[in-house]
Amino acid sequence: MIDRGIFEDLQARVDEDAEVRDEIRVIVDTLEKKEKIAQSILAKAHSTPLSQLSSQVLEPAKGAIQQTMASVDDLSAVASAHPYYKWNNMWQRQVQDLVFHILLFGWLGGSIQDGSQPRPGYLLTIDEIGGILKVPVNEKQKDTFHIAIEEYLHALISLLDELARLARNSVTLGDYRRPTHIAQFIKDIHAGFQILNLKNDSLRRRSDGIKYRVKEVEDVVYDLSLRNLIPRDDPTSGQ
Amino acid sequence: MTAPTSPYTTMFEGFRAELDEHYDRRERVIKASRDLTSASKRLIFALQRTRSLARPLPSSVTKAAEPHHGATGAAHDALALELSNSLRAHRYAWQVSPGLQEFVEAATFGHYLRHQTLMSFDEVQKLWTETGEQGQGGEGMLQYSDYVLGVFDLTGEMMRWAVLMVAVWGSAPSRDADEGAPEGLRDVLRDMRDMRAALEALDVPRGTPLASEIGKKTDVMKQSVEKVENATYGLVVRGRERPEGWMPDSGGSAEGRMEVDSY
Repeated sequence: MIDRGIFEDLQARVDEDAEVRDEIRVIVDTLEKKEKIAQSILAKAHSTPLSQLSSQVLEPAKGAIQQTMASVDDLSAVASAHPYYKWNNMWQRQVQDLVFHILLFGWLGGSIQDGSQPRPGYLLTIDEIGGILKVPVNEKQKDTFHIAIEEYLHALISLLDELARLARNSVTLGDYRRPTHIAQFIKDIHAGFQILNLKNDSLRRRSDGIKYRVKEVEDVVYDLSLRNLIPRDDPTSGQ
Repeated sequence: MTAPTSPYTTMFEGFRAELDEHYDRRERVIKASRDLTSASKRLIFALQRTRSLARPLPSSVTKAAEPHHGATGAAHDALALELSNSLRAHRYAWQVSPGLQEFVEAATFGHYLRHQTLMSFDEVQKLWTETGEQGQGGEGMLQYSDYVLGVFDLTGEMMRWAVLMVAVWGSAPSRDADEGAPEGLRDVLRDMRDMRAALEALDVPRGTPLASEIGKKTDVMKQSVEKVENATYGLVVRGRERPEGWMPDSGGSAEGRMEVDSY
């Protein structure tokens, strides 16, 4: 005899999960919409001279990133009521994108907190990202919403991809100094990734591509130095 | 090309330690999950030798099953140790699920043979926490999705068992000559049809991992039900003309001894 109640109970559990899924999806969709605005503002960095970067890109981007934080608050509140790893694939991509945009914003010299000194070329740490988004990072005990190391590393690789592009576009804008900074930064991060023992997963595949970014930017620096275009006062001019 | 030290070395060393810990644990979980799968498969194999329904298992079967219970318990303890908190239990749920599904299959199959009822999710969950050799543990590890997928596989075990029993029932005098097929087989078939109907009625949102796993198992489950339908049909048809000492060996797709051996 098969007890129908068993399957009614299962259906109730399935329905419960479907509700959670719907609830998270609404928040993630909103986050993604806000994310796209931040992305489109930050994309202007490729066409904006350094002198106008702050007013044209960083200030509006700051506002856009702050907008996304409200969605992160919502997501954190809802997600923390459920097992993190049961649902995290629903927001992984959006959170990685957001972290990437904050990293790019920070690297360009933007700062979310008022009053802090702009530091172009600075890499925000995972703890600083957590501080900005007001969520825990690399949580290992409490089953709560957090930023995982893998998400930070994915965002970091996206940053390198973006900076490799920015190196070429800086030259187009007449900025011959920035490519050398980018070259050094990508090399330093590449060295960092090389000490990780990554297994055969998406992080491994993407990190394997960093060496091409290193080469791309080195080629830009080579082209500049060949033509004596790198300002002399730059210690990393590769002469 | 690579600088020997980078300003980010310390940061990445921290990440390496965390990721190594994660990868190592994942390896251990996969290993324990495989151990659980293999112990459960052996347990099912032992249970398949049962020749009775809705009765306590014969001592020959319980004796043969004993060492596999031990191995199941050891795998349980290894998993309970690794997945000691909710965060980890869900992080490695994908790796541990195959083992847990097999555990569900073995547990529900044994239960069905003893009671001829379907063991509920709560009962299986309780059994899982009591499976360890070192007291309780593993709460919250076995998800309802593991249970559902295990129950899909249970229909396959019921089919194998029923088809094997056709030979036994077929050679014994029918308990219900008018109906042609022994009551036991009819009962199992009825239960399998009920399960098929209930499993097919489960409404799981498309695009979810559970929905795609169910999709993979549904056809096999339907085939299992049909194999038992065919076996029952064979008994009914040939039961009427069965001479003394008749053994089902030809005709229908899944009823003969030869066929059974190939499972």
